[in-house]
Amino acid sequence: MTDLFVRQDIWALEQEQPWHPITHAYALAVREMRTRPPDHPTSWTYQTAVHWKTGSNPGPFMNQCQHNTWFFFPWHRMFLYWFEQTARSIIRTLPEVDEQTKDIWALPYWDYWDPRPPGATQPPPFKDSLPPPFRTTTMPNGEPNPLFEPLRNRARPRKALPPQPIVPLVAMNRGDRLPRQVTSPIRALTELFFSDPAGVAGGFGGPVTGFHHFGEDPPNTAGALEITPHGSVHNGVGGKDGLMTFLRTSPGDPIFWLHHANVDRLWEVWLGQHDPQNPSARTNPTNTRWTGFQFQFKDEHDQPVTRIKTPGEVVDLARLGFRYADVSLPAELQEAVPMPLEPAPDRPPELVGATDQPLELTGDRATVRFPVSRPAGPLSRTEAATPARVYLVVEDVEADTNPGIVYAVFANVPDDDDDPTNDAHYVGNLSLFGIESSRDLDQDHAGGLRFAFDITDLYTELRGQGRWNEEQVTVTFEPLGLVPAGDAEAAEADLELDVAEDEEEVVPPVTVGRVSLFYQ
Amino acid sequence: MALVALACWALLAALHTRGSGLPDGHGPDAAHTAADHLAMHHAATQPAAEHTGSWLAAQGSWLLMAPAMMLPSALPAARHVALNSRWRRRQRGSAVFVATYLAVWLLFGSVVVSIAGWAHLPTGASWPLVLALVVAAGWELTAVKRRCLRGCHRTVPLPPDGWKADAACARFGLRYGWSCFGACWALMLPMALAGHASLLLMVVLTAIVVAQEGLVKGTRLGGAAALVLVVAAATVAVAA
Repeated sequence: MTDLFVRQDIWALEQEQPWHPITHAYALAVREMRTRPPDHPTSWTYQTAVHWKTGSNPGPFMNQCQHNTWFFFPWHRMFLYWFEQTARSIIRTLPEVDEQTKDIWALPYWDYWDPRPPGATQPPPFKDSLPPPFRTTTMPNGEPNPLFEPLRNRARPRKALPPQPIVPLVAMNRGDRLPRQVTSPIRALTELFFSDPAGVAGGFGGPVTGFHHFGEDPPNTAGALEITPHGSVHNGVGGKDGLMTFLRTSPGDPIFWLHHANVDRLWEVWLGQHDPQNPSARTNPTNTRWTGFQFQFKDEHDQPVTRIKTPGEVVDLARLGFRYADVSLPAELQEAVPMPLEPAPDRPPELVGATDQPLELTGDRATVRFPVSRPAGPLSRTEAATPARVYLVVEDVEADTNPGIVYAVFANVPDDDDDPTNDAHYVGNLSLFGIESSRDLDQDHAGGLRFAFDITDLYTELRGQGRWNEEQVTVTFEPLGLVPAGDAEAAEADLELDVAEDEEEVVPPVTVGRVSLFYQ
Repeated sequence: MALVALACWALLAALHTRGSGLPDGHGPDAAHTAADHLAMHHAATQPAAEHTGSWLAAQGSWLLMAPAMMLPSALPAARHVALNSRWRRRQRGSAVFVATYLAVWLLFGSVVVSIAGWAHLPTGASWPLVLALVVAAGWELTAVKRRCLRGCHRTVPLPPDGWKADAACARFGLRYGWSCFGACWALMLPMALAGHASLLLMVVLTAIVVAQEGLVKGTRLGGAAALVLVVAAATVAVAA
């Protein structure tokens, strides 16, 4: 049996050697791909267009990405596979790359989960900051660094600094950290089922759909991991105008591929929790509508591929010829509240409360309250009349442009709690990745985003403590900004100075059509 | 809703098979179009009462065709209304949505049928139908069509209670109807001209509507739909 390629953590490579040969080879491949004709699969432009391409006739090989669907994971795995094949074929032609690296090169992944809180005293590097090879403007030999992308989440300008050739104070590019709620895979990894057709939320892997580019079917919600960390990291890295923020540009940032390699790795981590005693949990779909659905890609020779084009062909990594260096469970997962062990019941989810007017998010904390009534449907006729599932749904979320902000969502935070970001009422994020297309009828997204959070665990816990308000629900939206690296005091000072310098900055508004609560 | 659509289809099929049920003998042996109805009876010598009767017959025909053809594609939206309404308001919300949605199509049909009648289209001629099918094929390839089709997938926030809930369902029906009208007016034009005499054409056009609005990849079916419509136009032209 041939040896498998190993996709390694970029931080492990960095620890082994700054600008590890694997990383350096990737940089050279990116540089080479940017010189190739844009209509050829070996070009950077082509690979970006495979994900998303504007225009009326993208053809069968471009504008194919799958989001808010159970095809999210397999399609992106195929996308990465064919990209990696292409990059490897280029690397093997580069004289600057040594023979050993040519033989073993595989796409690294960026594991950004770092449980250390803001202001942690442990020394950097923080895994939730951008790895150094992606934020330095030059490579070790002084040549421009192809992995550096200036269009990333930026802090507000500071006049005190002298002018520099590159825009100063690019927050992600200066090593600042993504918030833990943005990078955390913990909540998603607690999901039990790949899809949950009878429920409201998207399960781990997304709802059952046909071909689903982004939002052709707005009532659908993304799977838990697609929302966070996937979408949240997109927004966190890209900010208001960075490449990573937008569907049409995100693969243009070299960190995109490492981010998605990590998302792909987390799929394996989730599957690693499979328990044979609960055979339907933490396993991939077996339905032929999923396993046999065909997608289209081209290989590095500009030929349509005849294999590795269906989900059924990509569930076994060994068959694809690679493995991940580490698919162990994060230690924090042991402390997470387990999800209910059974699929959602057959009875339909029932709306028990909702807001009656839209809410606008403009970059500040926002809170809404709405009354909750007793269920009147099939649930009310059950013996206990206690819901087996409780969902908080944030729907018809629209904006003209992506504000570059991730909003954390909290349920029933006590009024006297001034710091909701650290409490146990967190239910998930509005990641907003792709929201710029929510009002753009020229693209394959026809409406607002929908986020459905399974809050059964929170409901059960608070109800058990007598703290669940049966009459009213309070939902808090908290904007998540980048966390300055370094010690807490310096970080606070940095942040205050930035805010003071840029009071006129307007955060593009996001409209939330409705917030609702469902019992099932 | 599904039952209403099925009932309309059953009634239309029965009328088609029997070649009767409506004035003027619609059916296999009477290849008159809805436009024929009015063209024939619009002559100055036609008694006013008979003309009014034909106009009503054409409107009645449309009254069955519109729900039969347009309700199936609206089922997911109506289901969305039901699932996102309070339990006791599910049927009411869906009914308000469907009523406003169908109102858009009934208005469209009424206007087109009337115009076709007043335009004195030649009796028994097939070219108006061929022309309508070609127009529909061309419309399939436009960006406006795709925009409208995407608009059919949009939803509106639905407040949970009171008049706000009813108003939102009505607004959703109107918005959905308007987008659907923009996407499908050209597809319904042949039926407004052909009447229910062309049951096969009804089936073909309904299949296109349902596929485009129902499938998530519907916006990418414009070329295939245009091809089907061109073939249909050619078939009608050759058979004439």
